[in-house]
Amino acid sequence: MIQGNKKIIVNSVSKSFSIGHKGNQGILSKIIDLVSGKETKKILKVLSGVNFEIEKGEVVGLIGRNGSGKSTLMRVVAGIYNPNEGFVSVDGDTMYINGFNYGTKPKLTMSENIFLTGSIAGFSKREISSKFDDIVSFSGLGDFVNTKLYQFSSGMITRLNFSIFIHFLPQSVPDVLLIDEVLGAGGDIDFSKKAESKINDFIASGSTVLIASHNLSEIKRLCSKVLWIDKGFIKEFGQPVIVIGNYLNSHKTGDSEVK
Amino acid sequence: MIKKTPISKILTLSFSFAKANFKLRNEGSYLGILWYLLSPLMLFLIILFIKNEAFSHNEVPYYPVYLLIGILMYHFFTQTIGASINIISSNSNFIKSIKIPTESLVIARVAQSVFSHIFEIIIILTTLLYFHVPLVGIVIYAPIFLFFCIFVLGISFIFSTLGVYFSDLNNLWVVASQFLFFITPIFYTPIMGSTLYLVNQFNPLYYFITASREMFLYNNLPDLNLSIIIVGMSFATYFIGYFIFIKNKHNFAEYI
Repeated sequence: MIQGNKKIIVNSVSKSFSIGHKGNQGILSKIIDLVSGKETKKILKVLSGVNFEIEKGEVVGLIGRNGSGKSTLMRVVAGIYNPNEGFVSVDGDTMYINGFNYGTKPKLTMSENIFLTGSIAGFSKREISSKFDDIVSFSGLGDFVNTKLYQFSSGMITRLNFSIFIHFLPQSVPDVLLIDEVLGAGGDIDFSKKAESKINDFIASGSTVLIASHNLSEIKRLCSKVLWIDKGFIKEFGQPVIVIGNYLNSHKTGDSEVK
Repeated sequence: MIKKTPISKILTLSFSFAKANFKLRNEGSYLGILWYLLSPLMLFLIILFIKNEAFSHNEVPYYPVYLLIGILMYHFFTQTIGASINIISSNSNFIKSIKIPTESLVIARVAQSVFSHIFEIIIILTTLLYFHVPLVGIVIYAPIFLFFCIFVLGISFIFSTLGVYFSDLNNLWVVASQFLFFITPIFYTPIMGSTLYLVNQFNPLYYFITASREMFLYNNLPDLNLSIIIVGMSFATYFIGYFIFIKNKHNFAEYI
């Protein structure tokens, strides 16, 4: 299915969610709805006919307003969501990094969390022990190894999550890396620099990267191409300077239309 | 396009989840296992007391052991199923961030209950010693319990799937498990041919409890019919449950 250097192929992918205003419904309300004939469901189309290809070693930025479908697209590429239509094919090991609240347990200590997430990533106890010191020193949280996570600040948790992720990638260099709003989220300047240089290392060693971020200057610096997604449609896919320029312009005209 | 996860990876993952859950459960109290045992043991003492006070004669030999086996197997069953209803939604962080084999969450929950059940078996052994019943039954209990686990795993798969779609299923389960407590011969013996006896022919729990009592109390191997029912029912339930789970697990990330 994959030809040549194509690492990620997304072919006319559509994804809809059915959202009722009651959110997660119980049995009782489902029966009442069925009897009363009231359909509370509403279909929300998050992605419509998304088409793009990313070549090996490319770094692509994903921009768009909140709710435009960036995270959904990431999750479809990562294989967490199945698309309703179309197909996605990704060649090689994929790693999806989602900054916040990644499965760490607040009631476990930092070291227990490292061991738990390590084994979720598929490492043996010995391998985790060998990486343990690196993770702690990268996160800069050496004083809090035996502290329970609910006492951490949100910035500390982000740092820990990022460090854990970076060290527990399936290989030292993943084939495809999906980064969802991690850059600049929560970490201070020192840590952001550290994180960025780590991502640069991945790029230098040939990983294909898709980054979703609202930090446009960062996108401009890191990416060779930018994908602009708006209300589930691809608006533009091309040179960072041009696409980001148009994106910023659309905000201005969008604002004036509202007025 | 969809990569299959090797069984060894699923099992390793299940084990780490089980270990983490066990730690979480005992957080702040090293007597966590006692809390788990408290409710069935209180139930046991209360029923024993009432039975002695309200009814003059005990037709069942070694009635306390008979009662205890029933209560503990029932407790294992309802606790595991009740917990597996919420197992997917309470791990939404994992499921929404990485592609993990979700079945390991269910397996881990059953494994955690099995571990707690070891302590329950120790209690059964103590009562056996106290009433001078030969201990040989424990050896033959192992295979029955193995099939019971396979059966419970199958039901857990079904309920963890349903729990994703119906958020209030655990309220229903509370009622259902109470109903199950009275319909299953836990603290009484059904009279042959009575309605209750007929109803229990469709109650899977009845077969497992009956077979276990036969072994512990009378050191009898279950007869051929009972064995076939137990083995067949366990595997059928497991495969049906696993099938339902696998067919639906791709939707989980969207519903939680």
